[in-house]
Amino acid sequence: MSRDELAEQIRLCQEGHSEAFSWLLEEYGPRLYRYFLRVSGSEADAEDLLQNLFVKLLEKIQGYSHQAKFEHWLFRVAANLTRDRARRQSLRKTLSLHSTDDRQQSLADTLASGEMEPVDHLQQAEQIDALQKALAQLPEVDREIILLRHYGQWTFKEIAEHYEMPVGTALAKVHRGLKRLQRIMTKDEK
Amino acid sequence: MKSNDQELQKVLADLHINGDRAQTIRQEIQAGDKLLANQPQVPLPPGLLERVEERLQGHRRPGAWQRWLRPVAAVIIVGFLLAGIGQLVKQQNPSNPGAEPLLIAAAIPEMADLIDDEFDLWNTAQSIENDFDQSSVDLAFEILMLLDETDSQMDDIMGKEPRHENVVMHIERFVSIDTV
Repeated sequence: MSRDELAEQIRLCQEGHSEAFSWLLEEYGPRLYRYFLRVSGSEADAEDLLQNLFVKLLEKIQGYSHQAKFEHWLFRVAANLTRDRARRQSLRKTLSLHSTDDRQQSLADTLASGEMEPVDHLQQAEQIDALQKALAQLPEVDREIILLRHYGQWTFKEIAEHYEMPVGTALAKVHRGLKRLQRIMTKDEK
Repeated sequence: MKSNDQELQKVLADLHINGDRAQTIRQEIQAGDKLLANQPQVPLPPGLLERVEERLQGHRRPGAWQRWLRPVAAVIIVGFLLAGIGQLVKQQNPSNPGAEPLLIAAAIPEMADLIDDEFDLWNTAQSIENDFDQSSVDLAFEILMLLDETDSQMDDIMGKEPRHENVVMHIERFVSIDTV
């Protein structure tokens, strides 16, 4: 996707063309869904958040001025949504209660569709699960920051601005979080 | 990832983190990034995007022509309403067209306040009833005038039996006509 193509699609969205929204959904939907799933740990919540995000996008895209990078802007809306949701419910509880069950259900669905060899899929499911469990052990903000950086390609400066913290703190959180993530996952492997 | 590393180096330099310490942090962050990048993608649930698309259908923004039609329609409706009110006022009081609707609107809360303050406006209401054919604008002025008069006699009036409900009913019957 070129920058011009994206700008054109955004312009069409701002004019209310439904095909342009479909294009954005195809382009960003999977990445946003994965971000939501990793943050919330629940498939149902991730889907709900994705739906809410695109509904919000219908309202908010008029206000997008091309000054901020679209991807960053989009993930900022996503981050605010997850933040609002986390305020309403105990995210930590949700992660520990739903993370494994929901995804296993989803993998079972994919297995049933016969798209992958069951052995490959089992291995993949275990890896996905391991990362989810490791992420669940991080403090909420650290997890969000790491995921926004990974899925939303946020820079340290953007993280610092969004969370209203010094760049040094953003760097420290990313550094500490990633190190901890590695440690947990290496320990689990052993 | 190359741009990520460039930014990381810049941030480290800005924070005056140099030498081995900077190198270690850089390597550890890069290793973490690599770990995340090498993870298998979570499969999308079947029909996910279609379901989102479906929900969007119910929330679609109006098309371009609908977006400009709405304000235009609103302006036309408001214009007609204002013209209607202006015409009505002009018929009722040609010497000072345009000012009365505002005064009437202002009078209503003022009257309500006075009634709440236990004024006995029964006589006012009676006079309104007697002048049923008079225009509502004139009546509103008359009410205001009477209220001014009764203001100075408050002490006397306070002792009388209030009939507030009737007063409110009468005032509303007349004044609400012109306040839209």
